[in-house]
Amino acid sequence: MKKLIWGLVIVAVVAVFGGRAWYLHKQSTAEKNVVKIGAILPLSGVMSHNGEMALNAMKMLEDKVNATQSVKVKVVAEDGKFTTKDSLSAFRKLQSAGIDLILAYGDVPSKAIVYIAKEQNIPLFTVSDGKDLNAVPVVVNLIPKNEYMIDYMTKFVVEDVKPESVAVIHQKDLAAIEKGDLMVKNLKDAGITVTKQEQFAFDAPEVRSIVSKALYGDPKAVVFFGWGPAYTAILNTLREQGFKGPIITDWNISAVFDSLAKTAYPLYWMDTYFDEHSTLPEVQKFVAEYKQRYNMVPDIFAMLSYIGTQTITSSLKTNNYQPMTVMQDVIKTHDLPTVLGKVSIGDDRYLELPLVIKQMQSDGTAKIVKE
Amino acid sequence: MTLLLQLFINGLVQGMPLACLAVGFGLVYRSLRIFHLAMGAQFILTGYILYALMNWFNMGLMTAIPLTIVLAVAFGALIEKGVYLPFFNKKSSAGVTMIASLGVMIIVENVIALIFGNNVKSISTDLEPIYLWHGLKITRIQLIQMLVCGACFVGLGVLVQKNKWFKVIWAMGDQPKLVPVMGLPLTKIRLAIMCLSAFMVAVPSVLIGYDVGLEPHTGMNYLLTASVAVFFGGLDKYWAWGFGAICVAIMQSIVVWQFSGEWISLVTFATLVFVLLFKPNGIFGVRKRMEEE
Repeated sequence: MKKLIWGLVIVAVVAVFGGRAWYLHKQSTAEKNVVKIGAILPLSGVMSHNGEMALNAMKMLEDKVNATQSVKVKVVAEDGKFTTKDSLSAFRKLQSAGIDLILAYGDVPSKAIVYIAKEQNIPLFTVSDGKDLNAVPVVVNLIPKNEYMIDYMTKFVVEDVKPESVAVIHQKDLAAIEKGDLMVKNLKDAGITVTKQEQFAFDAPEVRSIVSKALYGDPKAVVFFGWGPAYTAILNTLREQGFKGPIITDWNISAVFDSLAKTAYPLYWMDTYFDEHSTLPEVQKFVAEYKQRYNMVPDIFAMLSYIGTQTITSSLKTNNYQPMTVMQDVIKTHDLPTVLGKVSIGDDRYLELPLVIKQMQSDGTAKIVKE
Repeated sequence: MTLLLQLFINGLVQGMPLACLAVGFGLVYRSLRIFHLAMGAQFILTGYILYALMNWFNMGLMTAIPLTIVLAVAFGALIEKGVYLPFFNKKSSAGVTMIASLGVMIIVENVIALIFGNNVKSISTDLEPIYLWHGLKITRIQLIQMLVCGACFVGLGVLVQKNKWFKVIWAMGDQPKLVPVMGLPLTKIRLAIMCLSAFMVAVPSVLIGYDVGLEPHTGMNYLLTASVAVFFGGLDKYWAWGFGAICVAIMQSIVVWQFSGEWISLVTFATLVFVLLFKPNGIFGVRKRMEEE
């Protein structure tokens, strides 16, 4: 009897471990045919809204690709909390999960991991526009270059708004400072007087003082970059303080659009064809699908993450890929049809996509005024 | 010169809500000996309660504000009953209680982000009417902030000096160990302090939230600025908290005159360090005898 019990125990143990080994072997064989995209996103903290938007969009694309393409993809996300320390730890977790390439959201996580990615020869796709990142050869920027966007905005200010003088206000983070400095340089080069260049923190309680100072030189237009509550407050305060001239900003406005005072005075921003209320069928379809899946309205950051991931997945033609060859294929992306029209990756490894200028209407909708 | 005056007025207006926040922090710090980090949570939660009442329950502003303040005070009482008092009864150190307070702050911040999302929420998107006086501008909401918060600050200050029960609250800060010795209900007084502090935080929170909008991660900045105001003015004088708050707010506003807005935090904290180096008890701080410490 004792022997029988022992025999049964041994059979059971062998069955459990054998079964597990067979399952793991089967899983690893299946995973060999799956490209694992490691995503470092801010899923908690100040930037988590953007991280959530981006992850939803990536998951949406993952399902679409797996249903239609022979090469399957798997998005493995880790919370980088938009800090250097957490992004590094997220990178290590993703590495141990066997990811093939990394997609990082924002300049802070991208800068935190860029040199390890280079050392490990892992392609880094970043939804960020930092120039120093682009200098590292394993990096592809899935967002247009700051110069490209600011040149486009400057052209609009100089040719369409034609102000005698401009005040430039921007947030004190790396991207906004770079945009602000570029804009000031461009405006000066175009012969437009820059009356003031002011900076603010995202939760600045002293917004009124910053606005008072910015308006003191009586600028005829205001160019403005930022995000967060102070961004909304400054835009509204500019109007409260009686500034009736044009305000020109960038696509970050989409994150605070509903919190802005709608006035008849001109408020313009650089954007893509993406708009929650767009009449373009492709955009409408994307918005409807996103809303249905996640019960929330996608913003420009969801859209950019979707398109960025699409440039990667559309390059996966065969199962015989190597991470760096995927990167080489992504760089060759040219006129890829997307929701926002045809996009390419330029020779400088930056995403190129059609930009437009939109104007807020007094009924709170957006209208494209320049293509 | 107009710009300087405008910045001065902006700072003065900003100083009144900050004075209330300083009282909210100072009362708890002085009387309960707790570095009240959960005040940042109270600050943001109050704004979101107002937002929820107006948007989810379609309440009017005038109905929602008093209810918000009542709920915010109840939350203050909950922190005392659920966190601070149990730690006090277990004779936990100030450091442990501070960590617990930080925990409350983080939990509330994340729960708010979970429920409302991390994007900016606005209670009002209408432009505020503006009043002009000799080229100086002030908006209606700024005036309301100054008057309401000013009234709350002065009102409580008068009560602390004249009313018996408020005097007890203040006296507890001088000699906390004497309260039970004198037969006074310590638990009730602690609860009253937390409720009073929550009220003083709720009033500016509602007005600031209405003015600039809500975001779940802004509480810490207001909390730190309020604590700077308390230490700057001097911990042992009620009116010094208001003085500290107005000085800090004016300083933050005036910095913009000659420097960029990026230097505001640096100037605020550098001034605090400088003042405390020469006046360790704050500008109006009272130097205590060794046995009083």
